[in-house]
Amino acid sequence: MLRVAGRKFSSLPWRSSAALYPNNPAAASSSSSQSPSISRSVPSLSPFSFNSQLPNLIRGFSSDALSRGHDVGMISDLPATVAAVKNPTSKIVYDEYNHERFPPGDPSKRAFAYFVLTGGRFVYASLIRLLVLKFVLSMSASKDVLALASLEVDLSSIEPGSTVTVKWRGKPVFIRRRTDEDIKTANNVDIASLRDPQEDAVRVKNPEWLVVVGVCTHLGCIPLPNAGDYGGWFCPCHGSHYDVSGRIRKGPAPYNLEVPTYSFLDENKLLIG
Amino acid sequence: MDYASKRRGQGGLFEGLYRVIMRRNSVYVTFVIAGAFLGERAVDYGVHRLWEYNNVGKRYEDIPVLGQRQSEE
Repeated sequence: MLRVAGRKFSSLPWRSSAALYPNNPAAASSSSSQSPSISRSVPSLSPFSFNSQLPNLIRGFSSDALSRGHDVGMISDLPATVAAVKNPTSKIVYDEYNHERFPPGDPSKRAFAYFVLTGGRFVYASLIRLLVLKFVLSMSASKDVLALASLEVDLSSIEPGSTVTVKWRGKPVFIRRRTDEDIKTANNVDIASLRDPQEDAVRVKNPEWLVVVGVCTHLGCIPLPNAGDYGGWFCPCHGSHYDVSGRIRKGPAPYNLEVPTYSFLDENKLLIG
Repeated sequence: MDYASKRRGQGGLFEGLYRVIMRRNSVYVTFVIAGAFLGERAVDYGVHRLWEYNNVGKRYEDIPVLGQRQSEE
């Protein structure tokens, strides 16, 4: 379609366009633009061809302006691209209408462009770090779960010699405030005779307070406090006896009652877990 | 065209930095990561200051000493 338009333009009286620009020194010879001989012999061809292509430029048909087909006369039916390949010329014409050019010899703006891209990449790196952290850490325990994992117990209301049961992580925990007698009893045991030998001092941080998980180590029943032959707990399921230090003495259980992680906050507060 | 290296090409600011940083990809990647880290800190700081400036006196720390009741627990 552009070729057809080109032919239409080439059939237009070039004289009219040349007449519009009386200062064109080559205007006189524009009438003979159809003859190939003149066009090839003129060395300074660019201003002439620029003005003669002006109607095309006004319309924005850059391919017609850039192709040499008009000067050659558009004799054949070749598309402009094929014609350009077949007629190589050193006179390269750029489409100055649509694109502003750096003057030849200007340094490229490569470094500036690359640094603009680098700025973008700063943001991308920050984004990737954020996404990775968010997605990976989303799999770790959330704060409500972590809050459930610990329990604070107020110890001020526990009498010496009494046992309190609290629920921690779904399991009962026995907190026994031991009297001096209890402590002495616990220490006066022959360790070697125990099924699961453990010193009492190893099992408690403060001898006055015994904190053990109230789950029988045999098959998981809950032992009863203040029962059994050893002044501690007695598991009714299969008859395991635990002493004042929560150690197994008699019965089928293999291990002593488990001691959880705990610490004493203020004077009367215990943090389990 | 108003940039730091006006038509100097040989010794412009960007050109010089280009020659230092963008020769090897490993150096460039390190530069990007470092720049991202510093940029994130700078942006955090800037936005934090802007937020504080916009919300003067509304922070928890701005409350004068909380009334001293009988401290329980």
